[in-house]
Amino acid sequence: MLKAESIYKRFPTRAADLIVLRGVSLSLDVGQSAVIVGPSGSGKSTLLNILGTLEPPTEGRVLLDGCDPFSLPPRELARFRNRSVGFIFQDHHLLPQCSVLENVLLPTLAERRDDDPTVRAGRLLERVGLAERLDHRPAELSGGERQRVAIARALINRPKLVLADEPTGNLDRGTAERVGELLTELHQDRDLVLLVVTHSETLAERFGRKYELVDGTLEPR
Amino acid sequence: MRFRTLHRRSLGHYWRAHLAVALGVVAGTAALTGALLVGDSMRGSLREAALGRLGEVDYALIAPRFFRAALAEEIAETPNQICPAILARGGCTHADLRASVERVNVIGVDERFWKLGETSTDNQTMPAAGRIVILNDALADELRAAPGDDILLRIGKPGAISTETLLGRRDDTTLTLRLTVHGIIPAKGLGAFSLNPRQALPRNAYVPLVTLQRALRQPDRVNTLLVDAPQDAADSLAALLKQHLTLSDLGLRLRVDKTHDHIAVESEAFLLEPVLEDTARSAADAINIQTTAVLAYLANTITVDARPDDVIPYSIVAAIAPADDLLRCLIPTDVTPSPTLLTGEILLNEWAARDLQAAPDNRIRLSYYVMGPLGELRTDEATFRLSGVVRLEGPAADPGFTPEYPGVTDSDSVADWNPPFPLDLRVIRDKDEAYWDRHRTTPKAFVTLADGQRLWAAQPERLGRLTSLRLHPRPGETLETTRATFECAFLERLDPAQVGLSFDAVRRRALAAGEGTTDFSGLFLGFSFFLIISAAMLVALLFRLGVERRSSEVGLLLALGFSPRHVARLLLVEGMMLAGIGAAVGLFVARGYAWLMLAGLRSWWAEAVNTPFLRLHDSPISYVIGYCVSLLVAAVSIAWSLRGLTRMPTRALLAGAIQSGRPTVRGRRGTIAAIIALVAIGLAGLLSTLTFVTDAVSQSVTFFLGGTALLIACIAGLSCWLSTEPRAAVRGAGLVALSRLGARNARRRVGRSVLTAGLIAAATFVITALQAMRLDAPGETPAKDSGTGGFALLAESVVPLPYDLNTPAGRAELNLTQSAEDTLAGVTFIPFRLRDGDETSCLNLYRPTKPRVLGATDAMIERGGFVFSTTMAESDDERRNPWTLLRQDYPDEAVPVIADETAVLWQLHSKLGGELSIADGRGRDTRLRIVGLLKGSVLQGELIIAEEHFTRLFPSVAGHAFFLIDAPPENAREVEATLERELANYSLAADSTRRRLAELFVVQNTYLSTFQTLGGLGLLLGTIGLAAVLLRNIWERRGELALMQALGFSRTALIWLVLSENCTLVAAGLIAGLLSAGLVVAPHAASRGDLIPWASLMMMFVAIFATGMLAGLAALIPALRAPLLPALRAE
Repeated sequence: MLKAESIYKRFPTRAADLIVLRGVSLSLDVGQSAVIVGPSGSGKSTLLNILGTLEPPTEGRVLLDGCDPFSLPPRELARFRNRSVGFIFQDHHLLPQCSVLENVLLPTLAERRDDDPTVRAGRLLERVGLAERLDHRPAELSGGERQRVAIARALINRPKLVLADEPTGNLDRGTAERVGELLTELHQDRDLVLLVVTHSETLAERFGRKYELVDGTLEPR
Repeated sequence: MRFRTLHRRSLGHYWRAHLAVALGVVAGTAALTGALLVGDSMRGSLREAALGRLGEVDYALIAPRFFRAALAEEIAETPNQICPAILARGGCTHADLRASVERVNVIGVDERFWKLGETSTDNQTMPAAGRIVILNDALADELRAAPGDDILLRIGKPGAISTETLLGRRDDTTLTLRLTVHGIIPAKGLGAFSLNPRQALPRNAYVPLVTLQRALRQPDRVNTLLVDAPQDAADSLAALLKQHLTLSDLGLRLRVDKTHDHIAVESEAFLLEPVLEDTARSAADAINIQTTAVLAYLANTITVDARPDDVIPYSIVAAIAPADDLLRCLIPTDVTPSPTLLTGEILLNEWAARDLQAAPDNRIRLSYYVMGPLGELRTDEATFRLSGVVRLEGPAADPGFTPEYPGVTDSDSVADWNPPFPLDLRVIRDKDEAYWDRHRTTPKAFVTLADGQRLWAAQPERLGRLTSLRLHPRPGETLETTRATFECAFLERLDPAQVGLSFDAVRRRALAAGEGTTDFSGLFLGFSFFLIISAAMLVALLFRLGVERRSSEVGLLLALGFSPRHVARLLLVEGMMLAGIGAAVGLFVARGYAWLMLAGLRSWWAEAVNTPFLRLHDSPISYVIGYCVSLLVAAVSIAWSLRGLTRMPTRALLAGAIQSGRPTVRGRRGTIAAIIALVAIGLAGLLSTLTFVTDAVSQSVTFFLGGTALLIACIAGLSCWLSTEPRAAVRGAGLVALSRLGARNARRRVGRSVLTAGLIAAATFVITALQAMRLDAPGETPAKDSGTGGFALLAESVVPLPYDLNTPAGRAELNLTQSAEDTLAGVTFIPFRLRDGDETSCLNLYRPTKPRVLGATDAMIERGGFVFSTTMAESDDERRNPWTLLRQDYPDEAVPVIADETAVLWQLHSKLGGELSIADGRGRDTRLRIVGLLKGSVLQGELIIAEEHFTRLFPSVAGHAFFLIDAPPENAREVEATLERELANYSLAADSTRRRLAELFVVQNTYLSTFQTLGGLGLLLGTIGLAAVLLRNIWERRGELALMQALGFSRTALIWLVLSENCTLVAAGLIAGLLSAGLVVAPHAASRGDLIPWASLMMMFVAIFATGMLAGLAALIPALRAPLLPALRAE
């Protein structure tokens, strides 16, 4: 369902172009999860951003459910990302001015829908163990709680693909454990593709398929 | 969750940053709306004052002659609707303290006047008669007069006979009344009664009408009617006036001469006004009666050319037309049985012929007085061929050829004559007295009217050309019937306006004048423009800074599937909510700001408007416009501040990046900036061309638009420079290297740096451009080609001087003392005729509806002088002396006029070649064509036309009342004092041209100070922006600064580093502002380099630079005082 074909990514510099990804290909079906590991600067986040349609590849193609999002005009591309992709960042990027519930509901503002997402948001927060913290502000939450809110936010629009970029990178070991657990449980509950980029071997162990990005190429581990 | 929840949350969470943005919007709205409110207030206050001073008066008839006071009751449709009054200008002196005030409004009224008041304070009780006066407090304060004090009131004496004719009494033109102050009333309402709107409080003296009538010897007569009538009553009033007008109101009488069977139409003015003569002829033609035109004149001597020793002194000579009619009636003597009377011929009566022993064909020589334009008498002569001698009987024995002239025609003997010209009693013989006893003013000679008018009617079209028009009844018709028929036909044909009898819609005129000469809304908006732009830039800067702090939020929204446009709209809506709140608050602040500006104009800047009555007037439309425009400006600013933000890579935004570091972006920014700079320079050049070459655009438009364009060009140039990558590494060590590094740091956030420098530049532009426009008073020695025209003094008299101050004879006639004569030796006077009215100078805020007009004599035109900004001169002679342009006669009858450039541009809103429409002395519209513009002249309040045009337009204005005086500068004060002392009867006030020019300059300079304050507010915004940017930069670079500290740089070194960046921005802004201001004011500076205050200009630069640096320092020190090392750990 997620298919990346020969993805290249180059960045222009004062000298020669910097090639970050060299013909990366990847294919994951619904219900599958995968983890990508690799040293710093290997291009993990770049690959994740390309798969998440945040930036286009220099070469190659990404297909999600058979659709090439980069062929869409910008507005459609944004809509596609809103409907189909959920992001979990290392920095949770919660809006400090909004409550927990409002942060989860934030993606639903991008597009008008018929159903009321509030109930779904409530359930998601209940699922991530924050049912009692709906009205709290991010500043009133611990690091793990914030990341759990970010996970709920990633799932609010029932995406087909969830991308997590170092989701436990800023957490202590215990909290990281619980967040990793939550991620795998949520993935199992839903028909979606989960792709995680991490340095953490512990977290990497939780997922079915493992890849390593070395010198711009993706290799199974 | 809805968008509005998100907006509400964001507004609340980021309230500090938002507050700063909202305050920027408040500042912009306050400046914009405040400017509109200042305009509203100026207009409202001017209108209020002008209308308040009219009371209930809507129309006024102010006649150049006295007429029956009873006309008021005859015209009035309701009781007390019309108030008869005498209005005159004069001077006032405290009888004991000797304090003097000139240009006093003398108002002769009775109880009807006070009923025209609108307020309770107007209900004054004034005795109906008696030698008392009520003063308004403006006059009383200046005189230091209190009730019970005596004052001397000097006014011009109305003379029916023009002082420019031989019989006009030039030695009796003023009157001094000693009156006791009965009361002092506040100078408001009718206490400040004035028909001519002026912002300065009028100095009014109210005298019982009867007292004034007696003193002026005008019993039951007035020169003014004040009318309380609806606004549309003009036509009905004119019709009623025409219906009730009598010959007496026109100074005309129909003298029935039963002896000689005719009716003589005569005037109190001795000469029949041309309009009245034309009307009389037209009426006579209409009723089919014959007329004989007569011009009687006094011959000083009649002699036979061959025997000059035989002289008949002081004889009346009658010039007659048609001569044939006269010949038919006269009885010839035997000497000439059938005399003729052709051009160049004369008939003598038998008494004169016998006395001179004259025979037919003798050359008869007449000598007579002729009056020069400045009241100088000269004796001319003319010779005629004696064509006949007539018997002294029948029509030839008619003393009625000469109209009544008190002091002469009613004298018992020739020796008792009291004429206004020299009379040599020694030459009068007994037989002359005997002739007077028997025949009085019976003419001794007759000539043709053509000859008479050629010799004796100096200005026939203005002063008149007949002394009477005789009406001969139709056969079978009685004299009484003819008289009645003629009077009816005459009044039917007369247009009262032609003789200056028309109702002036004073209330409408006051409303029009209240609109003001200057659009203060526009002016304040114009000078607030840069302040508003500064506020907009500050809003953009602060909003951008706020959003940049939330860049990861923007990145998140983009990652969550919001389109860039959607995210931008979200932020824009948030910004607009802020702007909405800011603009709403700004409206309240605007009210306070306008109030403060008006308070300033009443106190600190009082010299600009010279009026204490300004108060706040606001119109809802100004608030609506202010709110909407402010919102629009804020929207544009905020939208502009968001540009490019959502185009940043989402990943970068999520990481908190706020600008692309890619060289291509910097390069593109530089290219765009260069293009903008070039386009702006082109626009500024085009504007200059249109202004100074083709004159298609006004200079004020060029100042604002050209200034803006140049400012944009400079700022774009700065942006271009900041966008270029530095080629070399920073070298050196110590403070120099740190300074270089600091200067380079200004390139890191080009947008911020440009906006900050732009704020400083805008303020610098306004402050320095205005500073350069300030005018210094001219030097002590007046130069001919300067604003003083080389004259040390100018003077104006309330009563025109009937004699020439330049001649000993004229000065003697004016009764100047010997010491005055000594003081005035070597002093030259250039007289002007004056039609008083509204000043067109910057001292008058009201729109001049009836501008002052000066008639320049040949002496002035020949002398030339002053500096011309531009003229319509075509020939070399005209270029050499543009005053000669005043003599031009245009085929379209437009009258050439010279005026001051400032007055034309700002008061009259016209230009060279433009036309002004004024009403002449007969109420007819006359076009004045501007042929020359004086630069920075002392004649700013005047429109100057040639005397020959003046006398045609304003025939009733006699004498000269305005003078430019060429006196040695070291002697000027003494001359000034001497003139005021010696000519107090004429209420002459002299002033130094240098002082007057300084007064005018003070107005301009005070306006500039006012607008510089706006520039100062802009500078305040600039420093706020500067401080905000500096704080933000320090916050962003705390890690970097901490690293430098870790590397061994001291805190002082870090302060120096950041201050260098600040210095670069301030200097860049200062240079950009200076460059723009310099180019805009260059033409001005080139033309009056000697008047530019360079010293204060330099001080201004230093002050701006210091302000910018202090603002930076104030932001910098506390920011760097916080510990930096935690920032390093965070990195």
